[in-house]
Amino acid sequence: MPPFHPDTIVAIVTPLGEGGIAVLRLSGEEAITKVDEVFHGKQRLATAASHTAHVGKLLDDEGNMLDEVVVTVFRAPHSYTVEDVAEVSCHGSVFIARKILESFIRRGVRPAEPGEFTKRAFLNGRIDLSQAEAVAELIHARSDSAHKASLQQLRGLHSIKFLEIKDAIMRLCGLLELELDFSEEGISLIEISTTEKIIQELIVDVTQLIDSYKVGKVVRDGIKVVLIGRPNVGKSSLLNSLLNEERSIVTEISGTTRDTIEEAVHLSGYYVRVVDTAGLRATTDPVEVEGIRRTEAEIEDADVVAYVLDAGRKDIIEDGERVRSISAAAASQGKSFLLLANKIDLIGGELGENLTNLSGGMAILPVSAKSGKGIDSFRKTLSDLCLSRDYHLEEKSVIITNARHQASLLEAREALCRALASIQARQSNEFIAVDLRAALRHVGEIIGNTTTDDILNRVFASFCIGK
Amino acid sequence: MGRIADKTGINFKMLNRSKGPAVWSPRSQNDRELYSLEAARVVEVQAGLAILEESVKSIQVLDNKEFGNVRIQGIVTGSGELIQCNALVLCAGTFLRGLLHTGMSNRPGGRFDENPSLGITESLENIGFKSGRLKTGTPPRVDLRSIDLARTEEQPGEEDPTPFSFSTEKIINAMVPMYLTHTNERTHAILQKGFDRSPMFTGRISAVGPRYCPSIEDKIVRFADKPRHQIFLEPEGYTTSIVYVNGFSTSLPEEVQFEGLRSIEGLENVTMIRPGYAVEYDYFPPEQLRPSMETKLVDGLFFAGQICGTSGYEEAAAQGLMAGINAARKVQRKEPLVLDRSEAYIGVLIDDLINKSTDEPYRMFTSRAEYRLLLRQDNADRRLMRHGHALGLVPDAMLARLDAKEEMIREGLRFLDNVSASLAPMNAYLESRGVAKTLQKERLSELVKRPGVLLGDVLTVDGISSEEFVVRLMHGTPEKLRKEIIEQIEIELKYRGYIVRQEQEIDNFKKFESMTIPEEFNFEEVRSLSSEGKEKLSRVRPRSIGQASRISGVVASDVSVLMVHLRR
Repeated sequence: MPPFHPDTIVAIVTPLGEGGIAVLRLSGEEAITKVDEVFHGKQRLATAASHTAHVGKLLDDEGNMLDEVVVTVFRAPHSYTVEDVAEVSCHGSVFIARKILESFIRRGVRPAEPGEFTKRAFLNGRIDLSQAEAVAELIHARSDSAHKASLQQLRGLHSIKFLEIKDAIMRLCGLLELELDFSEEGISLIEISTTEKIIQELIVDVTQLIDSYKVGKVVRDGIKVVLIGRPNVGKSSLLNSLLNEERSIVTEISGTTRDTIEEAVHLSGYYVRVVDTAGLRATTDPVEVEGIRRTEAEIEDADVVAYVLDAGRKDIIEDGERVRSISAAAASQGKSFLLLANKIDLIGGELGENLTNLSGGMAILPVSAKSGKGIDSFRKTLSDLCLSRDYHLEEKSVIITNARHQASLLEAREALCRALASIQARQSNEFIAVDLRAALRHVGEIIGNTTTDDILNRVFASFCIGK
Repeated sequence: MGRIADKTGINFKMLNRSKGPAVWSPRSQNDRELYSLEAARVVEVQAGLAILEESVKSIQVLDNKEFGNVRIQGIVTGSGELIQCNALVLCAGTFLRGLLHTGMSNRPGGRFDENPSLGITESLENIGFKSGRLKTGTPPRVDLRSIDLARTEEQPGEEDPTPFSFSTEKIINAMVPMYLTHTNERTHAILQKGFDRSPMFTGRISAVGPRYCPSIEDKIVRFADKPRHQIFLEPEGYTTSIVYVNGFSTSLPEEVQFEGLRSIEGLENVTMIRPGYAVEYDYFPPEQLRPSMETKLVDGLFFAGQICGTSGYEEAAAQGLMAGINAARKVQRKEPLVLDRSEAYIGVLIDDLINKSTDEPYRMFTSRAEYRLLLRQDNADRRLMRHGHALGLVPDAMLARLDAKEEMIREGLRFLDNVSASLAPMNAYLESRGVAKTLQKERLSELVKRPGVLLGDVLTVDGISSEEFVVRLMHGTPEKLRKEIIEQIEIELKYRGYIVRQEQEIDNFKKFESMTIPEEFNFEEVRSLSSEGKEKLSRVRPRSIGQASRISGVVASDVSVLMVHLRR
């Protein structure tokens, strides 16, 4: 029996999150060639033998390296699905794996349905008959839970936005159909310029959703942590200890970091950008003044503001005013605020009275960039913040996080653009309708299908038609 | 039917002509008397056909318990005679236990001045059929001589109309105009006074009527903000003065109808020949049918028309045709002919009927067809005539005409793809059409794609008109055939992009249609189906995965589960 589905599908098959390696699996006629298009190794995958592994670089659309990967090639019929299969093992961050997934989707590979690899394995006769029921139940159960999950995801702003779009397209379809089927009724019809305007607005709306595809904004852009504090409290050393590298210049002369320095670390699969800033102090040195101005700009742009104290300093209480005003400002802008007491080793590892007085009850994280004490809990605090902010953001703004949803929206946008082209070519309603229906079908893949009856119901409910 | 319509039409119009060819739709008003005489003549001269006229009291079946099947035996007539048959097509119209309402009085009847059919519903219910009740209505008839035509707007109909049938060369009938007028707020106030005696509003009629053919009282209630509604005054023929008041369907009391009519412009002194009425009748929800129109319960019993819950002439005619074809094939022990959704509106209609339980009378709209851009009235012959010929319904000469037409279309497309016109004469033409000039020699097929450029004109441009193919088309082909060929080529070029996309969608659709489900497949045994899916599938018993996916209540995961099962 020939493979049943001719199209090629892709999915990340390892659990997302922490872990050394993430694996993406592609299955279908074009599985190997699609990977080959973006893979640069010693050998073309197109000519690679079955069951061989290949090290190389995976490039993005601009030809920049996304990751160094290992690709394993399985040729039909000797694969799990009995089709050509390519498995891409990349570094385990959610960010990288999803980037790679997106790039395949852009190249026309379809995101796999839940359980689809297994389904193909069955359909192609690899799994024996006795497993049929189990497979069927699996598909059912998974799509049910996927459905529930997507409903949850679609609560609130998401669903309102999707429904708005669906509703606008449906309304437009209804109006167009009305004119087509009941043109003799003498009803007032929609102006074509209005139709055009509505479609243009829809394209803008859909594009915004597509662009919001994030993988979660936090997952895509990471979170930004700004280290601030007086000069020479050890901000650069802290950054380095997070990086485990000597990357910023660390000296005993205060004010060494006059510009801001940004480094990225991966914490629990999240991408965390840590910015080391010029120390905050009153100064007239024009270079330093500029540095401090930039620091303030970085705070503005940050998700997390980490104020670093020098636990060993006697005049530490003088930080109090600044800590209070910055933490209040951070809270009002929805940023997280952390208070770190560095050089804790200098005062015997314990938070002294000076510190607790200063914090006014705020939690202080004792750390030592030098000894490494507290660095792990600093990391843990940051990754917890990622998690909570990830969640936080998803709830608050209309973004999409699901690759299948994005694929559907891309198709919907294409259909809307075709409808717009039909209007501009002065085609009549049925040509516009054919693409609006397609757009509706693709939006329907996310929030449920619309039938002709739904459209007709709308027509009947709103207009006086018929003889 | 097309031929009869062409012969007896008194007013023709191609609706939607300002739009694309896919939604053009030919309409005719016909002389009621002539239509009926011509239809009777066509039936009476049909070889091999015997016509018996009698009322039917009940349907008789043979219950073969041993094989678990029920087969049609025949009908029992009003006089008690059993007429046996191998196949029966039941076309009951609005007659089954028909009840006519005008105001608070009602009387049994199938339609004006005709008795209802009693007994058939019960005999079918006894076999196990489920029935329901629907409602439709008709407007009053008035006398043409009592209308002040000067106060209405004359609707002349088209000159040189496009015939319904490909075999009609030209329509030469004398045309009769229709007349447009409107209700007004006074009309609405008068009718509202009678609402307390409306069988609709007082609950005397509970059956559901079609929303798209609302009665005038329905329109007044549902669209209270509309100050007026269109009324078309349609003479019923050359030799009668009966006028059909289209748009004024009503079941209000007779005197209220009359007073309402007289408030309408042009009808101030109108004579009402007979009042409008509503008719309630039995139907059998069409999910009890197979795609062939044969009932699932009784072998050899077919339904067609309003009995299946549809409304409208074309809908009834389409079902009658298919039920008739398949009843004949049943007797000949041949496979039924089933048209699919990508072939014909008939396919869309029947597929919708058997898969979507409808609780209001079903009417066809172009929007119901997914492949609307391909299902056009202009290519009906190219889509369906071969089926007709294979069935023996279309004569050889018509098929030969179609073959010649197809060949000329192919040649024409090839010709236009390979030939380009000299710049000067072509630009002169483009300029005359207000279309931008072409700067270099363009293939004719590209030129024709431009909006405003007409193939018929292009073929007359200097240098083109003398080409061998063009000479043959323009001078060696009968006029109507030539027009059809030019139209087909033009549509194929101008809408190629859309057509190709729809064809791809059809390929995808056919893939799922071709995955068949065995007739005896037991949906209850598939553990992983959702319970609603199981129930709906067991009831409708789809014959393909494609059909299963169109049943309301069957979700995508049910379809996946079915596919997995059938793949074994």
